[in-house]
Amino acid sequence: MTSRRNRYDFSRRALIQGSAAVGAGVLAGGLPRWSALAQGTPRPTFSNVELSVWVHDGEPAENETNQAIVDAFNAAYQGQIRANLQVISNTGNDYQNQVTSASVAGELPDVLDMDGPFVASYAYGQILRPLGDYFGQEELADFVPAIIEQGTWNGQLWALGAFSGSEGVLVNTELLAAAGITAPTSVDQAMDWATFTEAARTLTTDGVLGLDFHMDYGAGEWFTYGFTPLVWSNGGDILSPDATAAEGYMNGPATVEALTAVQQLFNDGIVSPSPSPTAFEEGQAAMQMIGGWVIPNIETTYPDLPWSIMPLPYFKEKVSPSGSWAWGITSGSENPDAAAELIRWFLDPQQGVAPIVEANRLAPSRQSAYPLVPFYNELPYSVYGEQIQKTARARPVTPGYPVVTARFAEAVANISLGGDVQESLDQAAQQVDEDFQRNNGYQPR
Amino acid sequence: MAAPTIARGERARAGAGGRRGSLRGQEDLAGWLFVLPATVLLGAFLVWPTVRSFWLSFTDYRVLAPDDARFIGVANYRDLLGDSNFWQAVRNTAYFAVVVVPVQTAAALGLALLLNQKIPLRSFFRTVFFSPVVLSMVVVAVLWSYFYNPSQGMFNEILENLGLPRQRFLTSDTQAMPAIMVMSVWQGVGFQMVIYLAGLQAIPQYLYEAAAVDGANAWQRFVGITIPQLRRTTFFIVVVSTILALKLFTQVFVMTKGGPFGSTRTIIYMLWEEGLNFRNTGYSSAMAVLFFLLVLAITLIQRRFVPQDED
Repeated sequence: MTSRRNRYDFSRRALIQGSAAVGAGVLAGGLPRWSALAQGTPRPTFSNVELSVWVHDGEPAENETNQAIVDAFNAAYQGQIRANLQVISNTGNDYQNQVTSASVAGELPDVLDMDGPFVASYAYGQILRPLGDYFGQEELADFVPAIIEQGTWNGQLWALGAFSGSEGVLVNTELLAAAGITAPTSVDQAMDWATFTEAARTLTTDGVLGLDFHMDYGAGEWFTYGFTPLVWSNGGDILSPDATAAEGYMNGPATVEALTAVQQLFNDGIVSPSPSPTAFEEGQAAMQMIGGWVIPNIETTYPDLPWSIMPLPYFKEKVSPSGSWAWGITSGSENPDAAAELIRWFLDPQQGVAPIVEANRLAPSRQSAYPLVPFYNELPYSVYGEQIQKTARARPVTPGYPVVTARFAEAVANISLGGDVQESLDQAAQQVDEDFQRNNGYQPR
Repeated sequence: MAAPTIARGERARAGAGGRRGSLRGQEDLAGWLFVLPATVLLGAFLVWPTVRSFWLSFTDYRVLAPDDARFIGVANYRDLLGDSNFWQAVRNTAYFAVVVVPVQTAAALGLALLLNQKIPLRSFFRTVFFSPVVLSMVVVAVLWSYFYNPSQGMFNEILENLGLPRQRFLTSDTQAMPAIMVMSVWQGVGFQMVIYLAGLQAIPQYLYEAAAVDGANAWQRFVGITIPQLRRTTFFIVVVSTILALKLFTQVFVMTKGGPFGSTRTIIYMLWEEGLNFRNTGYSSAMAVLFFLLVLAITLIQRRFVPQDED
C-alpha cells in the first residue's frame, strides 16, 4: 500500500516538475528514482495500454482543452499509455442515461467523468473502483475538503474533480454606490443576513428589484444548489448526517426558519418569484445571488454593466455550495493503474487544473493550483476561490440525490410563491423518505 | 421485391399443371416474408417492451441495481393507489382532457367551417392556423413561457393596456393549468382543423341542395347534415385528441415542472419523474400499466358512441 502510493507520488512530482506542491513526500519516497524519472527515463510499468475516457460535452473551449490535456498526456506517455477521449452529450439526462445503458451493456470506458451529485449512484451501482488505492492522504490533503466530500460515499473515495462551482452575490456597483452601500469582497467581511436583507430592501425601488435569485430557472438543481447554503448557514440541513432520512432535517426548525426568512423577501417584493432572465444584466435588479456561470455572458454581452461580486451572506455560519464534474475509474477497467495515471494528470495543477480552469472559469479544487491561475486571485473570481477553499460544503452524497433535489427544489418554488413553509417542507421530506424506503435507504448493497 | 416475383413464377408453373399445395406454401412464405420486417420491429420495440413493463411492474426493479430486482407482487400498485401525488396527477390529467378535448374539437370544427367558405386568402389562413402544428412543442412552450411571464410577459402588457388586472399565469396554482390548456389548444387545433376540412369536403353537395329545396335554413343544414356526416371524423378526432391530452408532458416539463404546488403534475410527468429521474423502474412501470388500462378503457367507452355498422 505504502510503496504503491509512493510510486504514484513520484510520477506526480515528476510531472509537476518543481511546482509549489513539491513537499515532504519526495523525501519519503526517495529522491533517486524521482530524479531518474524527471530526466525522462521511460516508466517500466506500462506498455501500450489503451484507455478509453468519457467526458461530458461542455462549452467549446472546455472540450478543446480536455482534448489538449489528453494529447499532452499521450505525448508524455508515448509507447506506454494512450488515452482516447470521447465527448458524450450532456443534454437533459443524456449523460446519465448513456452511463446507465453502457453499464448494462458492459461498455463503460476506463475513466469516467461524472457530475458530482451522481457519484454516489454510480458507486452504489458498483460501476466504480475506489480511488483510495491510488491517491494517498498527503496528496489528497491538497484538495479542498468539499471536493473530497463530494466524491466520498460509504467511507470510500470514488471521484475527484479538478474544479468546483460556487455561488456569490453579483452587485450593480452603480446602484449600490447611489444607495451608499459598500459590497464586501472577502469572506471575512461577508454580510450577515440582517445586513444583507436591509441592503436589499434599501436597493428596492420602483422598477428595480433589490435582489434576484434567478427563480426563472424553475424548480431544478439551481434551487437546491442556491438555497441549501442558507439552510446550512442557519444550522439546518436537508438530509440527516448519514444521508438516510429527510424527516426532521428538510423540514427541521432551522431549515424552516431559514426559508421563512427567504420567503419574507418574496413577500415584501424585494425578490421576484418570476423575474426576467436578464433582470440583473439589464439593471432591473441591484443584486443577484448566482453561480459563476453567468459571468462569461455578462462580460461579452453586457460590457458596460458596472458590476462586482461579494461573498454569500450568512445566518450563523459562513457556508457556500460547491461541486462539479469529477473523474473516476470504472470497476470494469482492465487497466486501473493506467487510468489512475490519467486522472492524476487531469488533476495535476499545471497539466490539468490550470488549463481547464482557464477554459471553464470554475474554481480550482486544489490549493496548489491557485498560484497558477492568476485571475482567481482577483475579483470577481477571488470570491469564489476563497469560498471554495474556506466555506464550501458538498451537496448530500447519496444515490437518492435526484429525489432529494427534486423535492427540495419543488418546496423552494412553492415557498417563493407564498406557500406555507412548514407544510411545503413537510410534504417534501415525506416524499423523500417514501422514496428512500422504497429503495431500502440507498444502503450500500 | 423478390417475393412477388417468386410467387408469380410459381403461379405460372402451377397453371402449367404444377402442384397446388406447393403453390399455397410458396404464397404463405411470401406473405410471411412481407410481414416479417414489421413483425420483428413491432415485436422488438412495442410488444416486448409492453410485456416487460407489465412484468417489471410486479418487481422492485431499479436501474441503479438491476441485479437486486425481486418479485414483489402488487406492492407497487398498492403504493401507487396510496400515493397522493398520483391521485393529484390523475385529477390534473383528467381536468386537462375534459376541457381541452371538447374545446379543441369545437374550435377545430369552427375553423374548418370558416375556412371551407369561399373567402379571400383561404389558403393563407389555412396555412396560418396549421403552422403551430409543425412547430416543435418545446419551442412553443418556451416562447409561451415568456408570453406568460407575470412581470415582463406580453399577455400582462396586453391586459394592462386594456385596463385589466395583471395575472400570475404559470406562477398561480389555479391559472397554470388553464394557461397550459390555452397554449395547447392553440398549438394543436390546426391538425384537427385539417381533418375536419377533409371531412367537410367529402360531404356530398346534393344533400345541401336537397335540404335547401326543402327549405332548411343554415342552422338546420348544419345540425341535420354537417354534424351527422362528420360523425366518423369527429369520432376519430375525439379519440386522437383524448389520447394526446392524456399524454400531456412536454408543456409541463418545459413550463412548470409540475408546479406550482403540483397543480400541473400529470400522469406522464410523474411517470417520467419516477422512472427516469428517480430511477424507480418498477414503480413507474406500474404507473405505465395503469395508464395503459385507463386509455384502453376510455377508448372502448368512446367506441360505444359510434354505431357498430359504420365500422
